[in-house]
Parts: sequence; C-alpha cells; structure tokens
Amino acid sequence: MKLSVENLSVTTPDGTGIVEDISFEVASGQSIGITGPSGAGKSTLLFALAGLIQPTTGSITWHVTDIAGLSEDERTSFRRDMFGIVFQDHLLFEELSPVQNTDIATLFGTGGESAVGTLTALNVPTLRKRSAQLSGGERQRVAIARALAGAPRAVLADEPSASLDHENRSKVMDTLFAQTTGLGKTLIIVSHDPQVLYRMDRVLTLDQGRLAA
Amino acid sequence: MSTLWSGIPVGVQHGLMFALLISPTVVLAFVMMRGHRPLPLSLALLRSNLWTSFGFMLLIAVSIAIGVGLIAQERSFRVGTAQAAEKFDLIIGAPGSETSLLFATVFLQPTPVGLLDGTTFDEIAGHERTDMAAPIGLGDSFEGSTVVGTTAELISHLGGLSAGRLWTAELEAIAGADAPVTIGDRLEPAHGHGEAADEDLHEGLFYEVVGQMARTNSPWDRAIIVPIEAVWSTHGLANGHAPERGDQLGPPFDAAFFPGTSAVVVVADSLSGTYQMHSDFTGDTRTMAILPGAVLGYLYRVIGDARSVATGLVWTSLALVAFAVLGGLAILSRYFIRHLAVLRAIGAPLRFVSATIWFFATLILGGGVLLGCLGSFAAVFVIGAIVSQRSGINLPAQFGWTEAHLLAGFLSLAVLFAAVIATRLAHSANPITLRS
Repeated sequence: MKLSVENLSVTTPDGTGIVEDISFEVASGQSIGITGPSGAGKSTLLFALAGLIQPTTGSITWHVTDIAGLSEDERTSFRRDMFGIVFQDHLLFEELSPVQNTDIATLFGTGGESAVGTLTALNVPTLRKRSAQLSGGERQRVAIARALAGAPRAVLADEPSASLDHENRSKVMDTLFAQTTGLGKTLIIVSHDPQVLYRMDRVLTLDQGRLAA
Repeated sequence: MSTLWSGIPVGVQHGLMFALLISPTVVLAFVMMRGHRPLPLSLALLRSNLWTSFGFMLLIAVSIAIGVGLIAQERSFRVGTAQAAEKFDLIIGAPGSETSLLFATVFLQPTPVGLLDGTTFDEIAGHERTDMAAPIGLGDSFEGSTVVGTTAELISHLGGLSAGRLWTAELEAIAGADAPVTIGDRLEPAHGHGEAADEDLHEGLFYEVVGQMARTNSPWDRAIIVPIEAVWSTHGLANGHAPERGDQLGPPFDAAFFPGTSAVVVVADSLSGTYQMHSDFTGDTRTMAILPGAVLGYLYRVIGDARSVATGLVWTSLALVAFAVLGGLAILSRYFIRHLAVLRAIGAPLRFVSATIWFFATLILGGGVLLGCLGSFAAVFVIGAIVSQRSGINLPAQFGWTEAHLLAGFLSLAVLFAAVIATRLAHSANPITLRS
C-alpha cells in the first residue's frame, strides 16, 4: 500500500514541535527504516503514520485515504483493516496464551486465519498457557506475530528487534520481510539496529523532529 | 391499570416484577456484547487481578448475605411461628398481656400469666360451642425442656402419638418429638426454668415416659407432657377431682378441687363458634380470649415495620458497597489502562473495550451476588437450626420473591453503573499513552 506524507508536523499543546514539516513517499511493497537519536521524534512519526496521533498540520495518505482527515472511529477501523503494529514494550496480555494474544483481533469481529503458523515459524512455544511465562525475546516474537495476523496491508514496528538475540533476530526479520515486502506489503520499522536498517529499501534519519539530509 | 395488575395471579406478578428488574442487565449485556467476544479478555483481567477481584466479590457477598439473610430470616420466623400456632385456634386465660398468654401457651416460654379458677374453667368447658377445652399447667422443667401439664385430648388434637401409649397414671409422661427423653426413661423434674430452677423441690418424684408425640413443628416438640393432675398434686395442690375420684385423669374436673390453670386451649365446634367464644370471653373482668393468628398478625405488623427499615438499610448498604467496588475497579483499571489502549491501537472498537471492562466488572458483581446468595442461604440455615434447637420453633430456610427482587434490582443497578464507568474508561484508553 502506497504511503504519501506531506508537510507533516506534530506539536505538543504548548506548541513545541516533535515532528516538523516532514514529507516523503513509500511505494507499495517497499520497506523503510526510520532511525535517529533518542527524542528525535521517531516513535511519534510512526504513531502519526498509524493514525494513533493526529498531526497538527500536513497529510498522511495511505493509498487514497488521508487518515488525518478521518474521525477517531474511522481511523480505528482503518487500522484494524490495514495495519499490523508492533509496540516497543510488546504490550501483551499476560494472562492470555501466545495464540490468544496473536488472534486477539478475532474477539472483536475481525476474521482471518489463526496465526499459529506464524508463531511456529517464529519459534514461539505455542502450548504455553500464559504469555507471562515467556522470555523477553519470545514475547517480542508474539508481538510481531500479532502484527502479522489478519493479513495487514502494511506493518509498522517500533524497535522490533530490541529484545532478540542475534540468531533469533535474523530469523524474525526473515519472517517479517517474507510476510510483508515478500507479499507486496509495506513495512515501516523504527530501529537503532544497523543490521535491521541494512535490510531496508530506504532509511530516513530524524534529528530534532526533522528529516536529516 | 392497577385493576389489570391486581387481576394477575400473585405468582405471575412476582415473576413479572423480577423480569422487569433483571431486564436492564439482560438488555445491557446484549447492547454491550453484541458482535463481540470479550469473555477471554475479561477473564484475563480477572486472573491478573485475582486477589483484588476476589476481595471485591467477597465484599459484595458479605453485604448481600447479611441483607438477604436478614429478610429471609424474618420470613422464616413468620412461617415458623405461624406453623407453630396453627393448631391453637383459641386460647383463654386470665386478663393481662395477650402476647404473654400466646408465648406461654404456644411457645411454652416461662412467662408470668394469671390463673383461671375452676368455675371459670367449667364455664369455658361447658360453653355450648366448645368441642374441647384443655387446661395448661406450667412451672416445671427437665434439662431445659418444659414440663407441661394438660389433658390427653390436647395431645390428640396436636397430632397424637408417634410411638407408645397415652398415660394411664399421674406419673406417666409423653415426650415431645425432640424431647431429651425417650420411651422407658424416668425423669425427675426441676421446679422452674433455666438457672433459677430448683432441682431439689421434686426430689424423689419420677415420671416415666410411656409415649412420644408426633412432630408438631412447634416448641411442644421439645416439651415433656404430663397429666395436668400430676402438675397440681406434685405442687401440693388438689388434683382437680373430688377425693372419691382421685385416680381420674382428664375432664370433667371438679370446680371445688380445681387449683387453677394458666390457660385453656379451646377448640370450638366451628369457625363461627371460635369467634363467638372469643367474643364471649373477651371484655369480661375474669377472662381474656385470644386468637393466636390475630396476635401473631399484630406482631408481624410490628416486625414488618422494622423489616421495612431494615430493607432500606440493606439497600443503602448494598448501594454503598456497589459504589465502593465500582470505584475500586475504576482505580484498579489504571493498572491495565495501557493494555486497553493497545486494543484501541490495533483496531478494537470503543464498544469492545467498554464491553471488556464491563464484563470484567459484571463477573465480579455477579460472582459476589452468587456467593452472597450461597452465604445468606447458609446463614439462614445455620441460624434457623440454632433457633430451632433452642426454641423448638421450626424455621425453614427458604428464599422468596422479595430476595429475588432485591438481588435483581441490585445487579441491574450495579451493572448499569459499571457500564457508565466502563465507557468512560474505554474513552480514556488513548493509544497515545503507548508511546515510550
């Protein structure tokens, strides 16, 4: 799914700019990395792209839909249908099993196949009854599998390799790429990891809320 | 409208009222959960806050157990006392307190009442509408059980014997169904009741138990019944009969040798006869007639006023507990608000998030109500058993529509507030908070 960002700015209520006047385009099936020092506005940009934060000015157009112009309910619905999102802190439901966490969207009416296969591919012990029993790396992989469930048209991930060791990182990234760009879907990753960024089609560097040259 | 309502059978009225009171819960459940399956997540929230949730449930359960138990116990008391007084149509005694006469005769409580003399007894026994007139003599006890003097006719009227035979001599006794003696036992009565009883006054005097009464579900089940003549003669009085008929047991009595009776249990020839005799022996300076059902009715009205106050207090306490629990849940939800925000971020509709919180709260509220029902039933059962053991009044543990209405109303009100809180919380679960 093609993404077009034009003159995007996000400011705090007191007027401080977090993301300022950013424009870029991502072609359908392309992968793009966002990097930069801490506090540069990477996560804010990712949240804005996902429609989780309303931009102060500018537009974010996915295919033909400017999500900045949608109501909250419409943005929620758009996210449900279009995106898979990986959060930095995994944010799993500890008392649910890995499979229940991955298939959570089925509880509120989104259809789709179970992501058990993805969990197996990511080497997650699917028989565990509670996600609280998983290691940090395993939880990260469940969070990625949750983002891939339901065949999203774009995946947005915030530091998806942060909790993974070298061996698992390669395997997880292989799966992530295979199930996104490998299927013509868009992949946007915020990361500090050079090995992850190295695999991206393009890398955007943010510095103090602006795109670095 | 009220005519239409009053034309409906009472049972149907109660059922409709219950349906009306529980309907907000059903409607809310439908509205909140339609198209969604929040149960796994609600259960997950319950498990991750297990002890706190259980504490909330327990708080509701205790509150309900006390409230519902109080109401059920009051009904149980009414049913039990009415059942105990069922066989006593009319009681005539000396002027005084109606409740004292009732308590002394039906519930065999050691209550001071005046005595009726032989002439008065003859008047009662000889009344044209009298079928049976049994004098009652109280004053002695054995191991906490009242020793009651009366006639064999009253034993037959109360249900007769379940085993053994009626007495044929003064010092023979009939045991109540739960009396601490059985057929063949010999017992030495004490004069008086309880700690004040004089164990030595009747030293060397023994009754032999020759029969056992059928169960009456009244304090008479714990009593030991002896011929009225024995009560009089063991207290050094004439035994109700002229010396030449000194061995006679039961009526007719000789007024000149009649020492007095605390009360006369009367069975009239018909209901109208009962009312006529009640009228004939009321307002006279020598006698007072009571209809036990009417006296109990008066007592129930007094208790009913207290019940209304208690019901109000129960409602207040339940409402306060519900507010406290829902407030606690709102505070508790701050710990899982980020997870709710995740749901919103991955596309869960607001209604699903609300439904998840609402169902979590409803599980706690419903669990509390269920535990409270079990607790109140257990409390009513145990208290009923203890009271029955002590007083002989059978207090059946049963729940009625009042309790069902109370619980349905409470649940509906609580889940309604829970829906308001859940909706507000769902709105506050903003995905922006997920940014590290």
